Amino acid sequence: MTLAEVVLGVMFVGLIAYALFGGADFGAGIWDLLAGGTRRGAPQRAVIEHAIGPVWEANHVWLIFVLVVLWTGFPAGFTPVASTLYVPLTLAAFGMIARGAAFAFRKSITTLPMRRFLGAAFAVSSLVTPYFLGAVVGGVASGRVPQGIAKGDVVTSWVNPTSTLGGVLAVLTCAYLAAVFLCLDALHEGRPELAEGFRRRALGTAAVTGLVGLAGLFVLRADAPQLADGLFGRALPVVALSVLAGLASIVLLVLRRYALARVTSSVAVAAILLGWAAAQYPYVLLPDLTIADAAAGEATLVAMLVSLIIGSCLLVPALVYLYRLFQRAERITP
Amino acid sequence: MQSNFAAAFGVGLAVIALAVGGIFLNDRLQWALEIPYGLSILVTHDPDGQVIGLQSVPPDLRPPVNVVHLAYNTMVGMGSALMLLALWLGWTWWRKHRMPGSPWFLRATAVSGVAAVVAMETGWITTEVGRQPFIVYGILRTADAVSPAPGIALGFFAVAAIYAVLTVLTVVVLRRLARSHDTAAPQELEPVP
Repeated sequence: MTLAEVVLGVMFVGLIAYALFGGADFGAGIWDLLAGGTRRGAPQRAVIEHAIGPVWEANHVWLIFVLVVLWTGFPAGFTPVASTLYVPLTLAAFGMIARGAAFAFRKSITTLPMRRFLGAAFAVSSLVTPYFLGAVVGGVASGRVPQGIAKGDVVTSWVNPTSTLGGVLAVLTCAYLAAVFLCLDALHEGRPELAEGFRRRALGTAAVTGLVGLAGLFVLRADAPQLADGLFGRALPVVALSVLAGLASIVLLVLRRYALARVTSSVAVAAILLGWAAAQYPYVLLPDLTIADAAAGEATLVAMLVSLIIGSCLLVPALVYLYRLFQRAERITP
Repeated sequence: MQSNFAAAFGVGLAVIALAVGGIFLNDRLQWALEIPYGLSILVTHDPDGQVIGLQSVPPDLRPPVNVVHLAYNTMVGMGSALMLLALWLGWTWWRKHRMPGSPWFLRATAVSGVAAVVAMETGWITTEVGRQPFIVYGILRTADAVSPAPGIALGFFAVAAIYAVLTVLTVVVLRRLARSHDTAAPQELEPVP
């Protein structure tokens, strides 16, 4: 393994963490959107707000981490992505801003119309933000981001079959993860009937996500052949792991083993991302920008790795403590 | 960084006065208050120190002089005033073991928060506008650094519009919070029922 690969690997760990924690956050917002009318949806929205409240927008540190490692360690890979795909990236940023602001404002506003407006802003941005991020992945994975500054088409680089697939899969995955995570949250809050509702939603989204994933393989065959070859070649074991973990999650949900289902669902999602990485390897940008070509100089990479290690010594314990605190706080709740 | 045409109008290194206020017009600074040797002391800590005059910088490499000059004056003025305010409190506390009795102290304290933000913002304007036309000083011009992708201007207007909306909402929320004392501040965990 080269130094560049180690740094990129650390970045990818951050990306997986963002997909899992940030994904569950976005998904909770999607379920907030679909919870129904003001009165009928209130108990569900309360569980959702309680579940993501303490962590709130802390999960975006993972996205910032990914972006910083990319632009520092792999400028030749970051520049084309940031310039060609600036439209979906900007829209995703708007979504995050609207989401965070609405979630915070909603708590301090008491009038119903204003609360409805802010609630809608929170929920809708939870839906569109993961779509745009998935569309970015689709643009990269289908080789629509050529090297250089803004050399690709600023529209078709993210409005295309693979990007649509990436966006839809991202939204579904977020919704699925959130439903699985919220099952346990609802139980801990002593609301088994809400847990049943989230369990039904988790099983439903699992089925839809699986079907879209299967159909997506045909989309990739036609629209992103280089990636499809990788998925069925080198990445096949990881793809198989994802499918197995997904199936195991369905069984565990049926059996109401929510804690274990959280683990297998996370493995399934992480394996999808790993499969994408393995299918693209050794390219940062398809069709031909390799990790070595995209990497910054050795001095930068060494400095990056050292600061990553020091930084994670500070960040990881703090985050673990945060997550633990909020899980414990839930358990105290009657 | 300062627009200095007073003590040494010429080209090259010179001992330069510190200009406070004034407007840069017709290639010279007008109506400014000048502190002799001021800038030389500020930059080199030596009244005879040599500072590069603005005249020796080619016109196409100069930043918008008035913006930088007045922003810098505002930042330093606000910062100094805040420091004096702190000294006022410190002195009274030390000598008399109480807060200053003057209502002007309270008035100044009430606006000191805004003043600190203004000082910070004008500080940013000084560094960012002062660096123009470069984005990386002496290496990369801002005009050459901007993305050639089409539609970037639209993105700028969208960002500006969104932050305008956020600003309005923030003011509304803060006013509401100020009016009703029982509303919990955002981000705080609500007590478990």
